[in-house]
Amino acid sequence: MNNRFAGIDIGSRTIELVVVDEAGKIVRSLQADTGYAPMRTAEKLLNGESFDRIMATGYGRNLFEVAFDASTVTEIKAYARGVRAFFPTALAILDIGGQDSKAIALSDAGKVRKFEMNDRCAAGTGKFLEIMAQALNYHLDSFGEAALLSTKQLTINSMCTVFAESEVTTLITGGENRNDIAHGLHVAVVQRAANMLRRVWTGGPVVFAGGVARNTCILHLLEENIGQKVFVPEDPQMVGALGAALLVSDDV
Amino acid sequence: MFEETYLTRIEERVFKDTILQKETGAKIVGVYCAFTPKELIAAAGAIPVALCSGTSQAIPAAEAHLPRNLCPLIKASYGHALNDTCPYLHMADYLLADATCDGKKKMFELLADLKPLSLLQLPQTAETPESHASWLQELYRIRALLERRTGISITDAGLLAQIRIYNTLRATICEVFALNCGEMPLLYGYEIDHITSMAGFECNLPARIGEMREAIAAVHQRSKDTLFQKKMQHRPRILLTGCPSTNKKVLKLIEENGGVIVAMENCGGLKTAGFGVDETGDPMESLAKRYLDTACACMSPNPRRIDILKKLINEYRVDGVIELTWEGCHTYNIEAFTIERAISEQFARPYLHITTDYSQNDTGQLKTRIEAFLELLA
Repeated sequence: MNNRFAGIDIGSRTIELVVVDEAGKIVRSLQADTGYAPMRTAEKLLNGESFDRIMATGYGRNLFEVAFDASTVTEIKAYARGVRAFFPTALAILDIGGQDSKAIALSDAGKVRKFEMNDRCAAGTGKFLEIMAQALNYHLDSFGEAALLSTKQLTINSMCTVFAESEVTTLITGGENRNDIAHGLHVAVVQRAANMLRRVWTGGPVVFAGGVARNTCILHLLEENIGQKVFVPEDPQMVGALGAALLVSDDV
Repeated sequence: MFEETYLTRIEERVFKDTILQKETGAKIVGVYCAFTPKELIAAAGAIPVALCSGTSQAIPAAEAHLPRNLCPLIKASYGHALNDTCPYLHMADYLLADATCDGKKKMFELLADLKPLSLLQLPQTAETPESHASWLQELYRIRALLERRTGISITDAGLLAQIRIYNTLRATICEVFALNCGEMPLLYGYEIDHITSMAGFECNLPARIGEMREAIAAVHQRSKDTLFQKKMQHRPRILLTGCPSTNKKVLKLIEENGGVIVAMENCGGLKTAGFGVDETGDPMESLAKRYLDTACACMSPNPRRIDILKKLINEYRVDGVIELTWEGCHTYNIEAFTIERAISEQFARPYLHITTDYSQNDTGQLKTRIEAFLELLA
């Protein structure tokens, strides 16, 4: 049998598993909600999968390292490797995940040149959008689409989930349309993310990855904000796991 | 080799020496920042001691009086005073505090209710003759104040003797750091931290210097230790800069995740130990010059800090620079922008800026950031 390499990305909200063949082609791609027992979820995902070596990334990487005797890599390096497999000329990555966000600048050769990451606060990440969607009674998957229907500019000042929720309540009781409020929230998230990107980005193609890259309104506003097209991988949540799989395959 | 127990032994020795000296009537003077010339205190027969400010336990108490978004170092200092949980502050007869940043000097106003405190009025620049003149006047005022408090008059000869001892101490600390200049670093940052620590009261400095020299001699053996070298050789060499690393969580994370802190540009480290007092001129003028030149971010402008960084990056063959700033420390947090530009553009080294406090709740995120930075250097 040919060699197979796996990467597992244990994030705060979801776990992704990707298996590649010797040529780096994706042969398996799986996802599950992390839940409260990440190692049990990981074990279930791995059940029945065959591969020669595995590398773990994401916030649960060290738990996995101990439980499954795997090598590890940070999300930052894994994203750099994974993104380059889709977009070989990318020079910057914006990743907004469930509880953190990061901006990564790449060298021409694809090495991490510089990065920025949010601090302990999950403001402006996937979790923030999730709670705001709930507050406005949207399903998360349609939150972005609804925001795109907005016809009025509203400014949301708070990025803290608790403060933003009370700001949203004030706007609702003020009679504002919920699509407009949704739009205002999206603008606030993008403003923050674009500022983080600008701290590392010195021009060139930008890739947007992580779960929030599925949100069409965020993508649209991001392109508008930085004044150029932004590329999104077909499956933006798999980038970390793919990167880890490719890195372990590079090692061999 | 130089674990917590190493330091505890020295702390016990220092404590005994202090009790002996205190019994002969010596006063204990608590100090805060790096602008206070300890030579003056020692020349008045008193014992200088730096006060506790590195742990989070006392912070909740401090937040009853101080704003929550103030830097943890200031909150911790004040909290220890409120709770009476710092043995050094407890034993201090009075405090000599330098008016550095806004947070410190306003906190000192509150602290003065708990302990007799005198403030050193610090100019905000070292760049003008006027600021030097006023600082020299201020040191004369402090000299007279110390003489009144201790009943001992400070002579120029006595002051010069203390300048010499402190110069030897600073030079010895530099020698400890210099063990990391070669191709193979011989010390971890946490070890440097323990070996060069003042271990509390600054009394019997010759003994403390002797202990540092013993450590230096022992560390030299490592250059023949292949096991040690094997562990050390692939570690990226980090220069730590920024706020005083009073709390050790970031220092620990850097070394636990595969780096080695070869040098530290911060207070107590090479920012302060790297510079001696001129022993040939008028001792008061020499003291004033040396101390006003401290490259703290509370000074504006602060060009010396870049000069020091440049020198250390070359001397210690630094792979990457990590700047640690405490949340709420406006001066260092703003200056970080200038430092980052100098490090990446002038000195072409990767730079990571970490802003945090003393709590443990961001350890996961910090670990990822530090690990990713070390990956980038590998």
